[in-house]
Amino acid sequence: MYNLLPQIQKDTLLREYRSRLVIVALVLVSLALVIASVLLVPSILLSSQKEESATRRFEALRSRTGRGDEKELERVLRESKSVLALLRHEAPKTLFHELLMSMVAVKTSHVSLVNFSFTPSEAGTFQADVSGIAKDRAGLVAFVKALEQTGFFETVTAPISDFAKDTNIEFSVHITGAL
Amino acid sequence: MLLITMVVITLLFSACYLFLFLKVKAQNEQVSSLVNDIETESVAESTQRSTKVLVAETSKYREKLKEYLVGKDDAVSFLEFLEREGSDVGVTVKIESVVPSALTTEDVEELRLSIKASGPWAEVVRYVGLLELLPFQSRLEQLIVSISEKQGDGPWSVQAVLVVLKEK
Repeated sequence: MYNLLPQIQKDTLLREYRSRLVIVALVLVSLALVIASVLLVPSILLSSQKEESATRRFEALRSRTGRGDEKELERVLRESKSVLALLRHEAPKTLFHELLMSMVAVKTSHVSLVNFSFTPSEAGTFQADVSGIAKDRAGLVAFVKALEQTGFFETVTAPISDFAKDTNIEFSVHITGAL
Repeated sequence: MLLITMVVITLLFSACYLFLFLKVKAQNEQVSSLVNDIETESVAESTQRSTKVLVAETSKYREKLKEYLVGKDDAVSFLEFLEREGSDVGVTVKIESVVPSALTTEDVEELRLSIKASGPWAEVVRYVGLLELLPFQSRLEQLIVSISEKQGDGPWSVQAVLVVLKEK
């Protein structure tokens, strides 16, 4: 039948078939889109509910944490920590007044002390200078040795110039030790 | 005509589907972002709770810590305390200067006191001992004990630099 039709009618018929095919395809695509859209609706509802619930929970949490006292609490703890860092945690092993007493205790009548100077350092040591007048060299040597034997000091140094004079020696002894 | 109508309808359904799809996507992203925020806030809340507990637990220790510092308004009474201690042991005390110096901490500063005291040897040594054993966080930065030039106050004089911590 189809082959008996003239070419023009054949072409018209072919165009018509093609357009019908496209229409059917479009109807199927539209149907698929409608079904997909309907299937998306539960997802939208669920997501809306989740979002609402999450927002409520977030607001509740924020109202609990955002009362402003957080910074104050942190400041209090930070302050305590810094004060703790400033405090000395160990009692000093040596006290200056004990050193003064030990120096005077080992002094003999041949030595008069007139000045004591103590300077502690950050490293936990101290430097001291003791000056005075010794009646003679033997008295000064005995005093320096006695200072060494006290056990309080790491070094006891009397400059050689202190021994220049024979009597009435004005001396200065340099001492170092640990605090 | 039908073909054009179908094309238009298909386009409309496509637009509708795209709109719904993008809406779901946006909502899911929003929920995901909120869940992250909730986790962050939960951590913050937990930290805040533990900080509060720590502050409450350390309250008495912090009070004890403060006792090692000269109080905020107690600088004058501290100076008077030093002078009184001196007169109690029998030395004449003169506070020559008080210089505050800032520290790295916000609420604590150092007071650098230059103290001069004079009296007999035993009393002077005792006063030095008192300065070293003050019930505050303090240290002697320099100490000079020498025979006094002015014999009126006693044969020995002390020149000390005392550094003490004070609340700001």
